[in-house]
Amino acid sequence: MHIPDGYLGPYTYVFFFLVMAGLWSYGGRRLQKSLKARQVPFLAVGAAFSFLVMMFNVPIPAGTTGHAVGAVAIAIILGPWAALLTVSVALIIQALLFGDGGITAIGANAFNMAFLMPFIGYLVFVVLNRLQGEKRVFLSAAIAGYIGLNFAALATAVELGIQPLLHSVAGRPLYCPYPLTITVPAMMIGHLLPFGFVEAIVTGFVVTFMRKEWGEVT
Amino acid sequence: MRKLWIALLVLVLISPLGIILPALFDSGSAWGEWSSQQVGEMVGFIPKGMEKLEALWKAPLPDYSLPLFGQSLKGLSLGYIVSAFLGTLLVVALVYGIGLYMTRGRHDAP
Repeated sequence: MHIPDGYLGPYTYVFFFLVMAGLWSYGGRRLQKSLKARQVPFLAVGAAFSFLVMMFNVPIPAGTTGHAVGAVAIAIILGPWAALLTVSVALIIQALLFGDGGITAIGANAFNMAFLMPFIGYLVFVVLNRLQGEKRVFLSAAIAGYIGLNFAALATAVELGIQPLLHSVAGRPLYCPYPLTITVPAMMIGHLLPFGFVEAIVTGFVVTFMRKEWGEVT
Repeated sequence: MRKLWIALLVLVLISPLGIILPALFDSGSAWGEWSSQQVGEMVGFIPKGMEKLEALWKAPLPDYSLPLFGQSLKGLSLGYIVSAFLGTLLVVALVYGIGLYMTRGRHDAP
């Protein structure tokens, strides 16, 4: 799900840098208002958790790999603005130090995994948790993680798939060469099936554990 | 809190599973994360902009590997653990710093 350098043309990556610049500055102020001193270590652990969980590539035999992101778990435990900060920092380190995700694509990758995913997952969790109650917190969190990850995958697929429309010279794409009809199914099959389930289990487990140990950290 | 730091350390130490399992199942790389060379082989031409942008940044530890450990699965696994540890330290330091800055002079109400 980490878009590398070269897959997105300038219209797309500049657009997402602008969007993220706004979200990062607004989100930073939102987080600063609500963040408690005792939450800071949890914030650091959350960022490390997301960084590490993304290193666990889950294989589809003779096919491809994918991974969980952990963004929805962080959003449920510490709030979606905390998820925006922590997952963004993890993604920036991944791009700069390890070449996982391009530096031109940091804006788009952050939009998908650090914004869209935790906010959608968080909303789903809030609704389900209200309907199902705290007894079913594992299930609510798992479904939220699953849906959050799949929205991130869909956004990634759309960003990649519109490149041939935006940037082609004499019918030859300049960046990602695959159209939406290929990128969307290719990304979604993996994330609707194995990777989404991994995210669901990780989210359910982490949220349940944290609530048992610390109650509401927030 | 200590439990959480220990859990992170465990994740660092078992992180090579993230490359060993895909190697075991012959899974290749993640969809849409190929080099321009690989894209060229698949679609018959290397997209011009892709080739140019790809060369923009050379990561010091590409794909969480340490070049000096070689390309064997053992070397890659060792590099993966070192990368996981380094990355975790950096991410923790950065977010801790940001968090302390945001909450400076703030004492939580009981």
